[in-house]
Amino acid sequence: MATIKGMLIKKGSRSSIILTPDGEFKRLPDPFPNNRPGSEVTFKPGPARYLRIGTLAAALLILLLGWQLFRAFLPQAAAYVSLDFGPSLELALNKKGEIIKVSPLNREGEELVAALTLPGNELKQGLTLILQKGLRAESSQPLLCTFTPGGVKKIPPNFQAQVMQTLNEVLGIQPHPASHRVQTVPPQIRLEAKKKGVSPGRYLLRLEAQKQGKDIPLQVLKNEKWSNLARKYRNTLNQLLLAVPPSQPANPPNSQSAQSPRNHGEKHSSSSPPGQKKDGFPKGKTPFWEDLKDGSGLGDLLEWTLTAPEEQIEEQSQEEAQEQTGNERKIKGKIPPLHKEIPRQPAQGRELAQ
Amino acid sequence: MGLINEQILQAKNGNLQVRNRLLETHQPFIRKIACSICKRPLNWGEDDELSIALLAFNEAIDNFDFKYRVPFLAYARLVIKSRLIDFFRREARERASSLAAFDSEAGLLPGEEEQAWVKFMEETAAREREEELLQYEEELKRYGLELNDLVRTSPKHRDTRGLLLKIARTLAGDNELFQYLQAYKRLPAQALSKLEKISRKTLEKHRAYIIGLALIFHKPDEYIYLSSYLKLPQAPTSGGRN
Repeated sequence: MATIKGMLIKKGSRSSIILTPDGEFKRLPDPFPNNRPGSEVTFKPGPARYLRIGTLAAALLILLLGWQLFRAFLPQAAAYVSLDFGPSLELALNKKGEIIKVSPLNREGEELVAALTLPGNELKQGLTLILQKGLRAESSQPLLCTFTPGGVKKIPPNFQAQVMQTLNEVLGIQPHPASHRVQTVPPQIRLEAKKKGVSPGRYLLRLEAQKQGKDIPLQVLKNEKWSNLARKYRNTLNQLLLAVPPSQPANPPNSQSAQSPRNHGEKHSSSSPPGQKKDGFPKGKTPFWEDLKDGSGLGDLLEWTLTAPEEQIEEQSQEEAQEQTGNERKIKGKIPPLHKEIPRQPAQGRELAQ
Repeated sequence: MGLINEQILQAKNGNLQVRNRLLETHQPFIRKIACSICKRPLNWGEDDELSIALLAFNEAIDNFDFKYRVPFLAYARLVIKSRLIDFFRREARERASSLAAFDSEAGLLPGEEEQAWVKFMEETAAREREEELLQYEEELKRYGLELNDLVRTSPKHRDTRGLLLKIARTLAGDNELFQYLQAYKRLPAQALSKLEKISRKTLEKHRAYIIGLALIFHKPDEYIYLSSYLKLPQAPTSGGRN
């Protein structure tokens, strides 16, 4: 770059004006603090503007390429599994079925995630830890689990089926909530939920409510505790838990669970993994409510809960609100309790389920 | 090397014709310097101060050295001042005390060290340059201009700059046009447009630049450092037409 020479005409705090021998008045970005006005100064211009822009563009390009490379080496999520059972969280799985990332989706989820070291664990192991830590003994809230395929193209065959099997397996073994469901959610729905700042499960609840002509305000969806949501939108949630996916026949032949709402614990996927029955339970295992039909009446109670007419459930819901009035026993005596009131599984039932 | 420097070189080498021409063409300059020092009007053939100033100018031609890194006229002005101060000291001893400091450093007295003289020259030149620039900025203000305007309207293209320098020189050299500029503080765009065959739009666009340069070209005796710094083809001195 050519050096500029000229007579210093005026000094400023940050720049100065010079007169070049060929008669050009120029402003230079140099205050020439050691020169007196009138003296001859020389100035070596910095990189030209286009050069600076080029450098900036090159730097941005390098950053972009670097980021792409970094992303390429980052473990890619083959699937996302979200859980809503009080704590809301999302697990990102790699194609080996290992947890690579855990994202809490609410405050309780944050506390739970902080207490566990999940990345690196297999899904089964991680999920067991989550449920062991996150499920309270007295918890009887429904558990909504979603499965969303990730962006990895080359995933092993039956990956989804295996994940679904694991989910159902673990949820079936664990001292799980009153009811649970694994729902497959398309990536678009997951992204929409993410944009709105809610878990896919909660978002599904909202979509289900909308189908029924109800609206769950986003703030409520975001801020309300899962237990409160489950109580307020009991019917909607039941519908969601009992929903038969479009890909699955509403009344599949030889499938009692599909005819009955008892299949509330079944997996959604139409492609059951090998070794698993259509109702989502591994071979040789029966749904826990079948075991409850041992004369204790719990199995019937659950069946009623899942088949009770909406009005009756609504009525019960209102009556629940009057628990403080002291006639709780009376009401409960008349109306069988809903999910949350289903007592924990008896040991016998759990063992059988396992 | 400028034309004046070539003439000085020739005069130093014994070319009497060139020397006489230099003395003759710079008489207005010599008179102006002498008047400014004496602070009264002086006339050729009447006042000794003018003769002393002329002799000093001649002496400056002999003693000028390009290593001083000051324009010849600035050097000549300094020599004229020195000689007149010597004259005043001789004429009136009472004034000499106030001028002693200046005189002691004038450096043209035999036996003065050249190094001290060069240092003095440089210091004096630096101070004069600053004063000259302040004076130039003040004069620009009278035309409603600032140095920033000159930067803004200064052409980047060399050819355009050459053309505008030529126009500025024409304006500075033409008394009628320059008087118009002084009187109305406006560029005689129409006349210049006709004279230089240039569009008025261009003239108006570079108005500040043309005026700024015309002021320097019109008063080379006042703006010695500025005018000598510009490496332009030497134009006929306009000082005499004032």
